[in-house]
Amino acid sequence: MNGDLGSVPSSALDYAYNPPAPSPPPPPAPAAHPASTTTNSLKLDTTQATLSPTAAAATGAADEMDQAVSDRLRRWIICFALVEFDLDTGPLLTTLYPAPPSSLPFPPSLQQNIAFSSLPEGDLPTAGAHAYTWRIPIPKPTGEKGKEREVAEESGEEWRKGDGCLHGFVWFVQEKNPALRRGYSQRSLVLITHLPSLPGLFSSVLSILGPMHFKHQQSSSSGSSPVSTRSGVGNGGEAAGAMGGMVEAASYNISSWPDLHPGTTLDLPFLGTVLSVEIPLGSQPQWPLPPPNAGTGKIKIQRGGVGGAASPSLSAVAPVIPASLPPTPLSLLLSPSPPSLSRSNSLSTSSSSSRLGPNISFAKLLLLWELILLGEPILVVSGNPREGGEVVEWLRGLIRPILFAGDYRPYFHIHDSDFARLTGGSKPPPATLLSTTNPLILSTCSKTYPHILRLHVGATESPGVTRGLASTRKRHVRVDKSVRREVEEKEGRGDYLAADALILQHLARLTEMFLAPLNRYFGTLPSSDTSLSSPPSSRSFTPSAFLTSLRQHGSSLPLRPSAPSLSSPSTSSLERFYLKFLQSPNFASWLHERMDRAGEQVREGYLRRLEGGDLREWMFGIGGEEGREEGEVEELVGRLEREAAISDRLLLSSNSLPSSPSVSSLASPGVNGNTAERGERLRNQAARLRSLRDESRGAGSGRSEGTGSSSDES
Amino acid sequence: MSAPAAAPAEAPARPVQVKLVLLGESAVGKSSVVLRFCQNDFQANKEPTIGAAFLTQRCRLEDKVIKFEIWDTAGQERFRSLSPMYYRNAQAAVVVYDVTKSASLEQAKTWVKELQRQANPNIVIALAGNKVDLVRPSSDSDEPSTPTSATSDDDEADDATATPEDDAAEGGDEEGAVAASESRRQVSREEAEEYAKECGLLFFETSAKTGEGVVEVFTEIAKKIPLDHILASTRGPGGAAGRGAGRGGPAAGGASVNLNEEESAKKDACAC
Repeated sequence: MNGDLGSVPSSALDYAYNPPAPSPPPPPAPAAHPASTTTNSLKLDTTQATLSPTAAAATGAADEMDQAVSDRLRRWIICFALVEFDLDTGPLLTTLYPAPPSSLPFPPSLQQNIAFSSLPEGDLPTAGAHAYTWRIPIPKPTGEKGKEREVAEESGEEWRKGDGCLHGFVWFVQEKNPALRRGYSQRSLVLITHLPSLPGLFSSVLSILGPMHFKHQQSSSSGSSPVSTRSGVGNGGEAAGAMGGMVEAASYNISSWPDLHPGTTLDLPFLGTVLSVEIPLGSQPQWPLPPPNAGTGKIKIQRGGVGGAASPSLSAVAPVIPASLPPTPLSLLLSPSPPSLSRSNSLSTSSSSSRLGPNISFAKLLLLWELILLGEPILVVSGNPREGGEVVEWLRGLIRPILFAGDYRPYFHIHDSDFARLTGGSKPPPATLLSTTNPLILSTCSKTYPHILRLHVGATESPGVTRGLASTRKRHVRVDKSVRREVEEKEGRGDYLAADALILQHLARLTEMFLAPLNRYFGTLPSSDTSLSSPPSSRSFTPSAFLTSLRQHGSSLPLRPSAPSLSSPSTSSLERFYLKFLQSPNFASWLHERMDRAGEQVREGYLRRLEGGDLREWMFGIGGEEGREEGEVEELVGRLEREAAISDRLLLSSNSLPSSPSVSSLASPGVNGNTAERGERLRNQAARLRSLRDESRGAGSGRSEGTGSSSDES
Repeated sequence: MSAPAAAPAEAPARPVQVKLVLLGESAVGKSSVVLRFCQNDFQANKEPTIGAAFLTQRCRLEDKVIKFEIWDTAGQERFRSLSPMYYRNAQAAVVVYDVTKSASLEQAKTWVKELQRQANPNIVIALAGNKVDLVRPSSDSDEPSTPTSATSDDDEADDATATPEDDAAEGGDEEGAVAASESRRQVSREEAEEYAKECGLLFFETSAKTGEGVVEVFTEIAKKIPLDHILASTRGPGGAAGRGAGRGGPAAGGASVNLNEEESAKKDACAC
């Protein structure tokens, strides 16, 4: 048998013995099952026919999952939810699996918002499936939040690493069911995550899971209505809770995924396929990769097996999924008449084939980039929750690496708890980005929202209304004609991925050009002093000083020539453009991020000085004739000890939490390598300083150099 | 993201990605076989698999590097209807039964039928009779040899994986005497081998516990798979066939991803 195989005698195959990546979920301790009676552990012993589908009550307690498994799951998602339309009570959240962490309770108001957000309104075809996304802020805890220590939050739960919102990826199914009063059943499976930057990944996940879930649920509940599945006590081993085995299987797959490492391409096994996903680095822009070996490689078409629909498609051409990009190409969503939108993989089958696009030209797209950059509120009107939501997701990503700081809602409805705040009043909050399918929201907002992007015109609307961007704003940046020509050429050939790549790269260049003067000015800000006594302080960014710097150095951002402003004749249009940005929330987010980065550097430098500084020199001066106040010395001792404790904790959390880098926080330079011994070194310094203090106390005026051992460090 | 992607793809050691699925009744030892193969390890008390576990193992066969992408499915009945998504686009399948449980061979036969009807037509199927350590004579025994209840009354497909009884049974070494060991065998080698031959399957008897036969399963599969064909039809490091379908496949059907028998080529290669 070993014959012509490798040379290892005992085993014919030559093992590369890489630790399998990703490793399977850590097995629960054998003792935890099968006889375990605690409610906390997963009921792994399925010989008991009481897998209690009933546990899935509206309170959200589905079958409990093993803590270790759910902890690993929470690196990526919070839970799955089932929502159905109840004829008596309306949209109803019936199940959460696994139950949300105790630190993140889902109060009734949030449950209701999730329920309403997950059953789309608007003029949808009567049957079929729809995939779309929503975003809902996590309600603030009402109690006193307490003072947060610098590091305390670092080791907090995974969901705190998000943007303070829940992101729902909905698979909505509307089916004829004559048994029900209205003749239709409307149900949704929702993936809820705290991670804001991975719509491409989670859309892919749900497009696999959604159809499988409903199909499996149907077959395992023998075609009965969802309600009876829920109360089907006698189903026994048939289904694990109302979720069915599919969601359970999906959850275990996700919990076996490797940690989320920004800037890498991860292979994520999911329900029989391996998703190759490129995770962006921080807020860096992504664009579609050209398919490898384009032109020569043929797309493999699986024949004869299941899934006969597998055919060359937009998504099959790009096997690596850029995690931050929505599944449907931007240029396809915005093109005048998307040719095969209804048949494309990326869109739900429900889009009517006669659909017309908004016809956003390249120049208009540049204007959209500006509006987003400057924090202008935009309302997107769509006939279909998916298209509008994807456009919102695209728009907010156009200004990467600047993190869009406004409130954005890929699917906004009138029952949202923020409805009044975001649509009422004379002026919407800055940098608000809403997508809606509801004509009522359109009519409410049509007077107040300065920019309305219409992907859709309802049948009942007045004939004058057209698709496209309605805005009085004039574009500032110049159109690069060669890029426009290329983009149009790609679009003309139907190569939307290539068109997107061109567009996104161009906008990334513009954003960098725009940021250059800000970065330049930021670099000139004085960093804090280098003494051991004082920790670094934040810098002050003054708009007037920045404008002076801008006037002096200019900007390479290619602007159109424009007439001088009558209202403020002293400023150029370039300056007004930047001033507008400085007033926007996006500037705040940029500055914050910039300060964090600079702060990390400054802090790192400070810690290095602390752990390596010559304390004797600090204490007695270079010549040894100075002195320090006792209080001053005590303070530094205390600081050294505090920093040592923080370093220990940082080290601990970076070891015990396998996924310390999150999308929102780049790996900080302090949390690796030499941090291991930093705590130790800082403690040594503290001890040294104490002995120096004692020395100075004991010696009184005669400071002897003779203590020897502790003074030979430089 | 903007880096040229084509260059590294032609490196000589580019692995051939092979999607492999393990199927079989609950508690026959699928996960243990995989654990033995991927980590050269054995756990007596293996917890049941939920849905399917995923492991990879790189191997070298002659001048080629093979990367097995292994989907170790749950044997439990409640996950039964999930299995098509694991074997779709698979290049290989290992159908496992337990030599001490004749019912598990019957279950294995239905898996083989289903694979031959619905899976990739070129799929390489191996039949593996696991737990042969339980029917091997063992030198040191300190326990009277009673056929345990697990072997006799567990004939119907249960939903359990490693129940305590089974665990006791898996401690086959202690079972002792030759006669007793042999009496635990419910599936003869000849019977299973003949069936495998009829259906064109690779056949092995294995023990995940001792490691016997496990590597051979994967070796023979690797030899039988048209590696060059797979290599030619995939594009670049991320482009295994199974993976290419990762986005295109399941999403393709939109609302109704097709797991239907009706749509697949009806092709009963095996008459058994």
